[in-house]
Amino acid sequence: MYIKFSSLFAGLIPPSGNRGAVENFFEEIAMYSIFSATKDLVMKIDTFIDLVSESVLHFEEGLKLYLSGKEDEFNERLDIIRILEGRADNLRQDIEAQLYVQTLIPESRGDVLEILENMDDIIDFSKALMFEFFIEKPEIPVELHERMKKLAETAVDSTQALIQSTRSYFYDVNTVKDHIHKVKFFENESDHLAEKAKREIFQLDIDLSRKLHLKNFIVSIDSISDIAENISNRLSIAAMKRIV
Amino acid sequence: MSLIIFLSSGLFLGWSFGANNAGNVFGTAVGSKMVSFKVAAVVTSFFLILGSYVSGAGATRTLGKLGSVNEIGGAFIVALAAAVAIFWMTRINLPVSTSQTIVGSIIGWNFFSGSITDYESLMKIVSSWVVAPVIAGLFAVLINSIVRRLLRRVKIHILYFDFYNRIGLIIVGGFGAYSLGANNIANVMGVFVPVAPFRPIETIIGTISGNEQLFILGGIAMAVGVCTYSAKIMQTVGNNIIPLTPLTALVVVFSSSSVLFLFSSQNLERFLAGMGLPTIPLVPISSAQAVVGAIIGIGLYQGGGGMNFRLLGKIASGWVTAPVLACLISFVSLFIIQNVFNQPVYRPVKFNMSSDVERRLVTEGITFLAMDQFVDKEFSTAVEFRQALKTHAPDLEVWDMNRVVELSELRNIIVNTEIIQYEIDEGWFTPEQAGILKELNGRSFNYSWELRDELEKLSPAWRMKKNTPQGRHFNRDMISKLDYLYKKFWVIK
Repeated sequence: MYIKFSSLFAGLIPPSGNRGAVENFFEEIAMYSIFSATKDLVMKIDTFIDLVSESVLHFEEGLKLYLSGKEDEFNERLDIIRILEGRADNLRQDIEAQLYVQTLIPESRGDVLEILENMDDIIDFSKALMFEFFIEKPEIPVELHERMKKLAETAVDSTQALIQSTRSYFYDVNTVKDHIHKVKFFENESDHLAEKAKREIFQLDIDLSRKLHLKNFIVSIDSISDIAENISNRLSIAAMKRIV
Repeated sequence: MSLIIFLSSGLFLGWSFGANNAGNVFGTAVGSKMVSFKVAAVVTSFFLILGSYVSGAGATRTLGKLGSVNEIGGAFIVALAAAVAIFWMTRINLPVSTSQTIVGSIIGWNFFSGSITDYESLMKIVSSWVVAPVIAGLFAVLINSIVRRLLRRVKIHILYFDFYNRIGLIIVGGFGAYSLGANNIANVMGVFVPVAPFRPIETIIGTISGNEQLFILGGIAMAVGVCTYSAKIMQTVGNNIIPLTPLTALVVVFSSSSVLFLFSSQNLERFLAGMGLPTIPLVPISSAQAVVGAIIGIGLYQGGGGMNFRLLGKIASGWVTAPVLACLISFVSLFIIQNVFNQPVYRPVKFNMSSDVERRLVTEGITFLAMDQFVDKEFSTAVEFRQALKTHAPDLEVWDMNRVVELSELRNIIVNTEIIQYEIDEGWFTPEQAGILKELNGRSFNYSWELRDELEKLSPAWRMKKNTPQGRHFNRDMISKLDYLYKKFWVIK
């Protein structure tokens, strides 16, 4: 083995592109000294989870208003959910940037970002579904109203259980399993209700096109709990990785 | 001019030391991506310089390991050989022990100068290869399970946990860097203390003595090493043996520095003894070996999956290679410097068992059949003398033989307190000790033990204490003072 003479001194020369290293360093030091940066991020994540929770609750309320024929109030809810979606998007991007720039939670960052992105899908989906109601204005027979309300409630319950599990993931990872099984339970319930609803639709004396139209909405509402379940699967793996 | 050249090898040693050892304190933090290399480099550099400065500011004056090398030219080569060996290991990203490498280099000098190698220090190195990783590994497993148990009971947000973990890594890393600087600066710069040309400088924060300037310079050399060349070795320690989570990264540095503190801190021993508590036996532990041991401990605790055993083998072979390499480089370079450049690399020491030495040996209970044959016979090296003893005095035990050689070492010592006035003024010697030295001004001695006996006879301030932990500290300090005097008062005929 031989060492090139010039390479003996290679390490002594600072790598190029080091301009502003001092500034960057002080920025990083400032980051360490500011405990509030962490506090701020904790708050942002909490707010994001709140937004997801609120959005699905607005969806549930919106659906009830639609079924009772209160179109104006339904439209108000749609506007609210749109605003919430925008805020949640911005917040998520903010959280993402902060996690990357400050290289926080290096070993769980990937999991956290994925979970937050997937939770954002819940808001997007709820909003898109409300839009479908707004544009397509499906005529829902009265005999289906209760079934649909119950289905929406169960779907929302599954998301609320997911939200509790997610909060546990951040605050007390050992209790994630206490909430996560509820997501599965509500998803099963939701599937069961959706199946019943579909059977009822096809027993109605209405056009096939309307039946298919209604079935489409039932499937969509049921999908909310499917999304929640997928996220909960991801979450339980992430939690297992963190459990010490 | 020649001094600057001599000093340069100390600085190179400091640079290599910084590059190789920064990984021990911040490797896991950087490897687990919890602390950026930039922050790690700046924090390590700052605390290395601080540790070096504070250690240099103390009244104690230790020459470090290189103190046994009796000629500055030799010290230059010994430091250079160690630096080259450490640099080589750093280039292939292997963390090694600096002090062990320096001892390897000194053994090269011992071979060359015909001095006797203290096999105890050699055994210390070999035992550290095994003892340090085992103790640190066990400690890491213990701390890891305690921390995990605790964390199961505590509710803490993932981000706050991350924050505290990061701060913990920086604090423990900072402390580690501080003690690295304080413990090793003497090895890097100590030998140049008696010859450094620096004069005290007045600054707004006070006077910076010549020693402090020398040690700060050494600290800066270490810091430059950290900033320019330690990135890859940090990855070896922190990421390549086993991927570490931020928590295990903290457990590793915490347990390895606790082990270093508990098992090799003379200050802790003194503190415990002072409080009337039982002391922990001191064990030679190198930080490089402790960190690797702690990582292995964690890896095995987690089931051993994903551990890079090939790399571990390479690291372990590096521990052996570095001192051996330093020894070879040192020996060859000393030969070249002496024979090609005509520079003195050691001061020849002669050995003569005079009748005074014989009497002294008898009082110590050391006798052998052929004793009379050896009286007043001169030997030009320790090795030659020992060889003769081995041949003609087979009844002499190894321990006693070393004592015979040690007591027969001829040194032309003339007491001259003027040359240690600075040390006296600084208060390194107590007023009583200094007074006795002044009384002896102008007296000459043929053997260093004669000076020591005379000092002991004249004042209790120069007498050793009982071998209790408290007394041990005093005795260590006394021995370093006496060594310093033997060196300073040694007059070449």
